[in-house]
Amino acid sequence: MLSWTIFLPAIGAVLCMFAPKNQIKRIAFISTLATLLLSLLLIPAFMGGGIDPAGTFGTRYGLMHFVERLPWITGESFTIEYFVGLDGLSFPLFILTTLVGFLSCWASWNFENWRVNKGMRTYFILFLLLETGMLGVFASLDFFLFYVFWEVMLLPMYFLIGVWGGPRKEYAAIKFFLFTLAGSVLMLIALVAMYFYSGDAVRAAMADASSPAGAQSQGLVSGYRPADAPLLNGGTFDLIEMATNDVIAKHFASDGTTFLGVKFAVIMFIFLFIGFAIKLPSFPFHTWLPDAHVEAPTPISMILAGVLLKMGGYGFLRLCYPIFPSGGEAWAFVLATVGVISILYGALCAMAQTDFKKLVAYSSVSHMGYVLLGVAVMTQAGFQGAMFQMLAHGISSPMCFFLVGVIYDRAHHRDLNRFGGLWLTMPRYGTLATIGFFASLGLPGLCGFIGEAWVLIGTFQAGANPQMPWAYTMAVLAAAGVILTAGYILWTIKRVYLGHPHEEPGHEMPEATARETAILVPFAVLCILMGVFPSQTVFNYCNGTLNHILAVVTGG
Amino acid sequence: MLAESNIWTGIDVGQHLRLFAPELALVATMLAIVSVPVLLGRSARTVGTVATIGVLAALFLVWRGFGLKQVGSGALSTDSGSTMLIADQLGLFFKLILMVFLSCVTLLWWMGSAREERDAPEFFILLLGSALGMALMVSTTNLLMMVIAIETASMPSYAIVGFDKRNPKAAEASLKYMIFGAICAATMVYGVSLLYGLTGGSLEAADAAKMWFATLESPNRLLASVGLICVLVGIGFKISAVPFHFWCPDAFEGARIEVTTWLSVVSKAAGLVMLIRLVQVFCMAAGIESVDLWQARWSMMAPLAWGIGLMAMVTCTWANFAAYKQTSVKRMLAYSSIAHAGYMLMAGAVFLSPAAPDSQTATSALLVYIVIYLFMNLGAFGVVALVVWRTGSDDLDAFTGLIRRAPALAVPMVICLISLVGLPPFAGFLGKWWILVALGRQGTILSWVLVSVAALNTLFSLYYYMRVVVRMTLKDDGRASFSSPAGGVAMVNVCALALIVLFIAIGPLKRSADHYAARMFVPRASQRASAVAPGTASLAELAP
Repeated sequence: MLSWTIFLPAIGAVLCMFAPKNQIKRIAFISTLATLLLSLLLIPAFMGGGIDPAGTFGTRYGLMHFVERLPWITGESFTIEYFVGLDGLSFPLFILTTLVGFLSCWASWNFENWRVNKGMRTYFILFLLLETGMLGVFASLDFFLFYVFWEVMLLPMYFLIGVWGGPRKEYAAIKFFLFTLAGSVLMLIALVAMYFYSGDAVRAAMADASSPAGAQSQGLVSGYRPADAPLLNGGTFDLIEMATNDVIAKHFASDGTTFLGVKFAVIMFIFLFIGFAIKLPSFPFHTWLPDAHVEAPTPISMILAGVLLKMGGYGFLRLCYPIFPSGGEAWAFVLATVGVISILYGALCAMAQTDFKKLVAYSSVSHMGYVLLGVAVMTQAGFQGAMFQMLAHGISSPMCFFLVGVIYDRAHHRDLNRFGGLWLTMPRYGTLATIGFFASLGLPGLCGFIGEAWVLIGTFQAGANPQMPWAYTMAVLAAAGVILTAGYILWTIKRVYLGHPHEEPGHEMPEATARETAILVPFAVLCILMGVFPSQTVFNYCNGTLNHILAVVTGG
Repeated sequence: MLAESNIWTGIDVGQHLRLFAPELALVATMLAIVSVPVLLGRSARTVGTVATIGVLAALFLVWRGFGLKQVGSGALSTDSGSTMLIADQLGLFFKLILMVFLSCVTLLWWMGSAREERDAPEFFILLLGSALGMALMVSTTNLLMMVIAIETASMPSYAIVGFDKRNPKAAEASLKYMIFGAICAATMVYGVSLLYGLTGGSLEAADAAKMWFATLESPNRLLASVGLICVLVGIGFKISAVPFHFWCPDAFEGARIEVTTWLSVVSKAAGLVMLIRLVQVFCMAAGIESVDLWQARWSMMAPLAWGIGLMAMVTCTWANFAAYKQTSVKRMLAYSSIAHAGYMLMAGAVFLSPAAPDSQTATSALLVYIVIYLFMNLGAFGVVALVVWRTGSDDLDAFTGLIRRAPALAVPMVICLISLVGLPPFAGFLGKWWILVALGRQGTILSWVLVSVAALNTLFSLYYYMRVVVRMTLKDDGRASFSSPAGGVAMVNVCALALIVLFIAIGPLKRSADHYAARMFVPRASQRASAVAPGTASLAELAP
């Protein structure tokens, strides 16, 4: 069923290829809707937080649901698997993807009125392929498969920005491509290296006659692997195996294991980290984001902000920390600093913008800084906060981008200083906009608050750790970021929604249409629900897994 | 010494000639083409038909060759230690690639040049002659035979590059190519002569390898190394590795598009297969007994591995940067082919003990890469050819707005280019991937450096490939759209489709490459060649 959900959009893309022209939009709409509904069917399995009573993962990792495992490419002592599954970490992001995918597909409904409105067939084909790529990234548990899906997203995204984007679309598209590829190149090196180093670890354990029989067999077949699974002596791409197998973990963390003269865990961690930090994006790798967001058409901005940025955070929690905890400890200070810089720098940049869309783009940099800070301190509240922040931002930022898109469709510009009093002319839209922006601001009772608060709590907790004496300072600085956020958001609301209506020729501002309202309402409802019932909407699903991952990280 | 190794002694000649039926078919076709003008006239149609029949016959014979029982591990006359010609499955696999590609190039000729061709007999004799040379290149580890095979492949290539006599660019390219080729060939022959002298009169690569290891602490070390380097120069020329690449962009730009296509894939691939055979011979000479012993001897292999590795790194990095400023797509693809030769050359830097599991992993990776590379380049050059024939220009501008003007060409072109970059979900990624895996299997510092360089080069190369993609998809200056011959469109689309299919289902190809690579015939040094120069230690004494 999981595979069907992943590949349903791709099937839709194939249908689009052959469908008559006036049916294309409908097919895309139905396939994304069907994907959303199918993914919602997965919810019951995660009630209760994905805690694994049977200890299928050697009690180290949370329960994985809907696992599908097939050998994909097999060579001599070499197996790449099609291995997908969902746990509390990937599942909420999976649902987020199908939701944002559906809503942004709906947001593409007015394709005919776009500035570039040619090639609708290609647009929706690429859109659906992109969705398959995104779902695949969150579901894959095989590193190779993960990498493939990660790269599969690149090309559709490139064309979606490059063909249907704004005036500087070519520059923005190639910049996005180059930045992301730079990250994936490092990931590719890590992919090869981790495979062979894990193989080394297992072979060494097998050859070592002194190691107890239990350890030897653990090196070969860990708790959750089926007995007929291929032996590990060549190495493994299995992300769970790499995180939970003692033999491999010990070898990866050992000081004697080096890669080109540098300690293996440290350099691999940073390779993966840079790959994900570019996607996140954190300072100083963030410069592609304002360009890409501003030039991309509205639905693509929604996808970028809502889903693609989350892959960075997801990568930290799935790959970097569980597999290289010692790397995480070694880099904690640097990462936390980068996180805090992202928060403050992103907020200050946002404050300086006059382009509405660019403002929202920089606010993403700022918000994702909390994610980085949350994971960097490696505390329970920090991890939970980072996860919540990702989901909250995944709801609020697509909403903000769509809000911007709505007025851009009417005014054909995004200059903050040329709006005003929109609440008077568009009351329904104004109300929803206020919810969206306050959620982004982090007002208590809305979704943005919980994530930031948890991250700050986690950072303060880390201050008790003698290895992280700097954590208090970081927490104080990050908390100051909240004030900056409030500053630019309130100022924006004042300039755009309050005050006197801005009179300008050709500046008709009709109320949001039924379609626009229908897209905004689910976002707004989720903003409120997640703010009021954080446990019921998010924490109950993901805490079990996060605690397991934290246990893996801290060696508990 | 040579007189001893009479390959025909006590052997059923007819049976063994069957092993070389494809080569013989090529020779027969060449002879037929010579006589066709006398008997039937010089029309391009007639000659082309005869050539096509010959090529298809050769293809069929290769295909049948896989069924022959004798093929397996042996070479002709292993008993006397001669490896003048080796018939094994590795060679057969390559010949299959060669003949498939030859058929595709013939198809390109039919679509493009056939109508205006005045010298069809000469063209096909040259084309088939170089194919014959390449087939020989992959079937030998005899140093003299290597020189002869390289020359057989190169001589016709020089002429065929300058085939359009009235095109000054072609003439210049041909001359450059020939002068460069002559120097490299001379260097190689010189190297062979040094090795011949130092081994005490053997032309077998295996003997040379044994001698080279044996000179580890002798004054002859330098001389032996010079000989070895000279041989590598000859091969480096063939695969256009930096710094022996200067002929390549000019030759590719000046030659006809089908000739460029021909040279870009198989001529390099043949050189690489030849190199990988040499590498295996060296591995065999250094560490047959066990993996542990191999570890101790790594220091002996290291200079060779580093040398090849360094050449590979420089080749791909340099070519990728040089491609940036090209405005001719043909020339840009020439640099791209140099870069890819660099990636493939990395497989040559993998030295694994023959006793280790998957010791042929690099060979297998190379074979997979060649197959995938064939589709990528055939597709890309095919599109360039179709555009050139319609618009008369291979400039970047000719591709502007291709997605509107000829969508059936632009889409496969995008796929082939992205595959050349090496991104999933296209097979080009897997080609690179198996090379990285082979390097990782070796697991030395050199291999991790190479892995990093190869991965970074993906990034370097992205920009110039994307320049073409951008031209085709994002820009449009309202040029007229055009239609292309159905055969050409079908060919490039099949290539693009193959890249996707191969990505999803690489398994069978990889497994058969594993299979053929593992059954490669690697000759060992003969007993009589132990008479190395005085004062040197023998290999056995070096063992710890």
